[in-house]
Amino acid sequence: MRIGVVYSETTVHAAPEVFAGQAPYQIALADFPEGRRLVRIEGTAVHIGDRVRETAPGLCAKAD
Amino acid sequence: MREVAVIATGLTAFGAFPETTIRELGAAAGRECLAAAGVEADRVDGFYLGCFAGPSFTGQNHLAPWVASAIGVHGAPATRFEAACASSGAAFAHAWAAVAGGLQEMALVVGAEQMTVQPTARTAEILAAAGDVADEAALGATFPALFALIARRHMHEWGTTREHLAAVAVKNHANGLLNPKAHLRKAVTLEKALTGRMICDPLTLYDCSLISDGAAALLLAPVDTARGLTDKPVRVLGVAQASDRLALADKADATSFPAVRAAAQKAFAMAGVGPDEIDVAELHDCFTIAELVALEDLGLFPRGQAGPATLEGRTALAGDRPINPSGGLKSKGHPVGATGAAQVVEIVRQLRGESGERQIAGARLGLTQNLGGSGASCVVGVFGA
Repeated sequence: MRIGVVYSETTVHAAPEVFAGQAPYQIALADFPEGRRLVRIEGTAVHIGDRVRETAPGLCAKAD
Repeated sequence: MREVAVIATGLTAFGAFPETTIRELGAAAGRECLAAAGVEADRVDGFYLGCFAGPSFTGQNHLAPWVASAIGVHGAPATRFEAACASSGAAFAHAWAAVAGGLQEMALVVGAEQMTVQPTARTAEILAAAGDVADEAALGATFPALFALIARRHMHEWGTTREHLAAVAVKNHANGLLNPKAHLRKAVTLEKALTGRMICDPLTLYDCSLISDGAAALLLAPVDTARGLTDKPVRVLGVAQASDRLALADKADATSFPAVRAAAQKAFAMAGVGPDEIDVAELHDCFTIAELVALEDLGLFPRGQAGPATLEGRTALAGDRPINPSGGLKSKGHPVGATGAAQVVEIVRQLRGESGERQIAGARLGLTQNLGGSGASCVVGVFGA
């Protein structure tokens, strides 16, 4: 399981049309061994410095 | 290279004008500009249109000759420049290069955008395409979301607070109240800005600029020509455009834009002045955090100090470093393709002493900073009275 560290995060309340049904949702910039990527967060909200685990491509959950 | 001056300016009101067309908006600004200079349209030998997403908003492409011909400019090369929100900054930089390089004698720059013809949700999608569509927009990252990520990290790393962000909105709305062309002329209190509807935390509605329609125009000529046409030519002392990676994730430090630093360094060097000498500046406050990052990237304040300085009133009209006297994108409005040219219009009028109630007394040196996307394009200009 790939583990990353949250560099920044925000919760999107005003979503574009195609994602309106999912709002609010959290996205984060997370640092993985291969570099930083933008990901969606599922489940518990995360903060800067939290560890996240990639559960599917582009999708992460709080690791611990 | 020849020294270039801005001879004349044109500016429509900014607001919601869905009943007109982008062609008519652009032409109105262009015609006002030529009339102010007393220059016939057939003297224009280069036409530069800054427009981000006219084809997406209005369905019309090949916009530059379409707008040029409505002004009466026929035959001159006419091209649309697209650099997201820095589109008319880019148009201005290229027009300057053509005149400075001796290729053209009279270049007309028009920046225009008409955004309110689409519903807000569709507008958000069109704007999101200024970021990385596959890696950002596809995940639901809107532009407010990208700048919220920047804000959150800036708060974490540099101690910036929600109050610091809100103070930018309060200040720019106070300035916009004095600008008859501004879209949203409304005083905003710190308390109101802090308790606005959450868009992408920590950014509320009051941290975001407006969706507007409008146009701005600039006429450029060699300084020698300019002196024969106006007694108040404003010299372009330095101008530079720079680029960077498109995606926010590809920037090592999300709290600083390398394109802004690079463009500023070149423009200051060309002008032979430093940030401390600037009397007045128009900065790209697409979000409140963007004005704070710009203040720090331009060297106007040390990193982490732009927020406290704003809250203390140092960037207000009466402060020692007045920023966005026009009201900025926050209050004046942000018709994306018009913004860069409109910033230059404000600075030119400030340096000519024509800014009425919001005039910065004795302003001799001015600066514009026009940002595209989340920092992938930037144009910085330095101007002298």
